[in-house]
Amino acid sequence: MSIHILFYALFLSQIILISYYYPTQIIKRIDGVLKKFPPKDYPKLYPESLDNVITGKKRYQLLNQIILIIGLVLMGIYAVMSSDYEGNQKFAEGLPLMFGMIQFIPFMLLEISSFRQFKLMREANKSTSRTAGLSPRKLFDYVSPISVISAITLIFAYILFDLYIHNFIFTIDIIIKIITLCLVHALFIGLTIWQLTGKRLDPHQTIKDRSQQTEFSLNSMTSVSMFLSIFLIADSAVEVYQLGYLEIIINSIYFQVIAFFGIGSMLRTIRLDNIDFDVYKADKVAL
Amino acid sequence: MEITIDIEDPMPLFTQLVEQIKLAIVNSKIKPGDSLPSIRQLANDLELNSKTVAKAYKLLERDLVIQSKGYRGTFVHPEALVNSKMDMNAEVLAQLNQSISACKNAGVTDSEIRIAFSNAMNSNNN
Repeated sequence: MSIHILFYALFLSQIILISYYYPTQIIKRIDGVLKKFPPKDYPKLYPESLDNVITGKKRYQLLNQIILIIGLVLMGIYAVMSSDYEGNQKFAEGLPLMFGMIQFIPFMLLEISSFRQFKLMREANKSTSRTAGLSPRKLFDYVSPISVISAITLIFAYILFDLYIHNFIFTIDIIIKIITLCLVHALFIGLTIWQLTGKRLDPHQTIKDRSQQTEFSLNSMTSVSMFLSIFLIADSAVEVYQLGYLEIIINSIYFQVIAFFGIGSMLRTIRLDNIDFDVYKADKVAL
Repeated sequence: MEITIDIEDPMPLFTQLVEQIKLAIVNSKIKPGDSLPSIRQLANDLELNSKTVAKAYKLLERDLVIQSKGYRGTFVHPEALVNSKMDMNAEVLAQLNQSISACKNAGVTDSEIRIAFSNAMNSNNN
């Protein structure tokens, strides 16, 4: 019974955190930008019309509200089915995981939308001058070596732990997990190289702002990498030590931590006050 | 330290880059031993072709303004300050003027000098 109560608390926290709290913070941030930096004074910030921005914001808000309601309905369904937990174990275990993936859809759409905005900004950019810094961007300028070493150590710790508890036999399950881990980290490495040496998406972004963004992205990826390894260790331990009832809780915690290190740290680290919005003002026309 | 190039400027992009880096050294914005961005990073930041940046780096390396240390990257040369102040164009112009004067004194015509210069530039050795 106590495990059900703990799950209700965690799943409710997952629903509220990812589909209510963070979306509300993002909406507040968008409203703050619209109010403080209006299109009239900062035309370069709005490659699309203001109406399109407001429509996009409303769409994002609505999508999160729908997901929030779905989450609450799913929790109700779980409450009905939990009387027969054994019979519905698979549904119960998959609930936070499947729902977590759905919860991240609005954030992915927001990210895709921002890529589109940056593309329009680059197309609209008529400036012929290009600026760059003369300092190389190196990994350890943005993320501490201890964090990187810890993340790498945890990957190997997970692989060794999983092999150890399976008597060093490469089962299909282990191979799939290792391949998934490798693919995720290949993506992280690609994103890191792109952050350090790639083209900037926002043509007006200052070197300082880009540096701040790079620092956030690299730290966020390192944290997610560490937690992913910890999650996989916990997942394997649950399976082997027959702690199946804990899986549902671990899955819910996993998504909340990912949201905390991803969206949460973005909101905490990249503050509007620290961004140089003057670069989005209209160019002075010579008289 | 920032550098700015203008893609509409009649001066070639690699020359602008060379001049900007030399200027940064002369103004002590970057010092001997400081590391410089990779060709890829600088090309992407300035939205230029990597070959343009590579050409600028090659010229700076030839003039002993920067030095490449393999996988460790590119650094400002210890003698960069002195070498950045040296005007290679003036040097070349002085050498050519001297040669052209010598040719003219020997009675060589302008068109003969032009043809000879063109042949020399197109020869396998150059």
